[in-house]
Amino acid sequence: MTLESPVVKRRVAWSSQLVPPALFGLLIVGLWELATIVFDADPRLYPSPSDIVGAIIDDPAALLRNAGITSLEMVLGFLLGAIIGVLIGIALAYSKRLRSAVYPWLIVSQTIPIPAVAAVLVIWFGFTILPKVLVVVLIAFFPIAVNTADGLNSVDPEMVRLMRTFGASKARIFREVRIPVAMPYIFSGMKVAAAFSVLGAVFGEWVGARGGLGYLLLLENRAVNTDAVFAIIFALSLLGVSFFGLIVLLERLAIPWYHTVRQQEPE
Amino acid sequence: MEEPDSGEVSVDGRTDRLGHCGYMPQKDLLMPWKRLRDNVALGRVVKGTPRPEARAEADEIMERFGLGGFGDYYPSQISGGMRQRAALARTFLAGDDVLLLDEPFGALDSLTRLQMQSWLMHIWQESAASVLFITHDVDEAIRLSDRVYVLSDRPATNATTIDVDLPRPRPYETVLSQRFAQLKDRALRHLHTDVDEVGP
Repeated sequence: MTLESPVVKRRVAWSSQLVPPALFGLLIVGLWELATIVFDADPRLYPSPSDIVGAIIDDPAALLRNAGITSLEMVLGFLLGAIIGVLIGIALAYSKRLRSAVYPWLIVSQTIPIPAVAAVLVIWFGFTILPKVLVVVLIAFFPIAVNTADGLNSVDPEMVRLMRTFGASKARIFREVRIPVAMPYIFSGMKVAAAFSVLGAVFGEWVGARGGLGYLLLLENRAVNTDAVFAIIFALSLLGVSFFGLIVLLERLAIPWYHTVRQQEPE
Repeated sequence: MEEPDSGEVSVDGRTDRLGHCGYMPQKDLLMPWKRLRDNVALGRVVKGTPRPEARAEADEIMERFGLGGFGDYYPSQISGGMRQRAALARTFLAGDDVLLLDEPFGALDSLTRLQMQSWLMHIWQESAASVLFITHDVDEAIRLSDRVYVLSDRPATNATTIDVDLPRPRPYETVLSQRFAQLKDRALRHLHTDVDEVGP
């Protein structure tokens, strides 16, 4: 007996996602270069893209070494933040009382200006890597915690009932239903956290550090090496985008089903 | 799953129904993160059958349910009718003696629904299960059932019980027979709804 033929959906090609932003970026860089020529800009104040490339080529080793320090702070802070975030999210999802007691304070924790916290952390822990990692943790855990809690609570109660008719235990329902449902939410939180973790690392370095891109940025800024400052800004954004891309890649590997689902949900 | 307001619900004299009754709601409730094979095998796996064995059983029943070769697909990749059949396959494979089907075809278009009815009767005749089938479709109720419990609207009380004496198998032509029309008339009268009434 034949009913309808199956509809197999295909993924959007990578190229169609990469080409438009690449073209737009090239356009902006081109206009920038053109503007520095047309207005005869002072390269010490308004470096052109080619000046910036020159600054990168000038001392790539320093850039790379400091990028390594900042990356380490980001990754450690992110991992710790993700673990704490998921645990808090689970706690929030499972205890209404805890949620009502803790949730407002989580929001308060996000209203504190990060440099202020970073300053205190440096007083406590000195010029070590620890204050920077902790600042990143503080920034990273929040979106992950909130998304984890939302994800765990967004389970279709009918699906839980179905599992119960099979005689499934609570632990099994958690493992086989709640966690998979929450995974896309957790990854959304992690993407936000990854993008912001650069911010945390740089703030941490600004308050007190002996290395890292944020530290280097301060040095070059004081010396009014504007082209070097731009080179560092470029490196920082590259770092953030790469980290974000890494999480997206992990997401595709961890929950491949999610990317075939999203196109349509028939009612 | 719910406890009765009064009285008792028992299956073969047992009142612990959890894990002994198959249940299928209107939504297919297939888990989007599991491939079709693992969705179909779910009930067996939860009840303790080793996963490879349950998967093999799932492949077998999917073959019978017209889903052969779709074991590696995710639910989002197949059509609504196929998903519904996969959900039924999961319910049947769980191996319970009593299956509660709560408007399983409610979300399907009417032609697909008719096909699914024929197909369900075919599958059911090969199994030993009793099916409690809930539907708002009077035709569907009479065509599928041996006995129809007509429930009235608010409060839902058993308005009447109709024993359907139509011979099996029941191809689509059955619904055109005179006996079918009589039974349908009886059911509709007991629903206390005047179908021809228009406006206030």
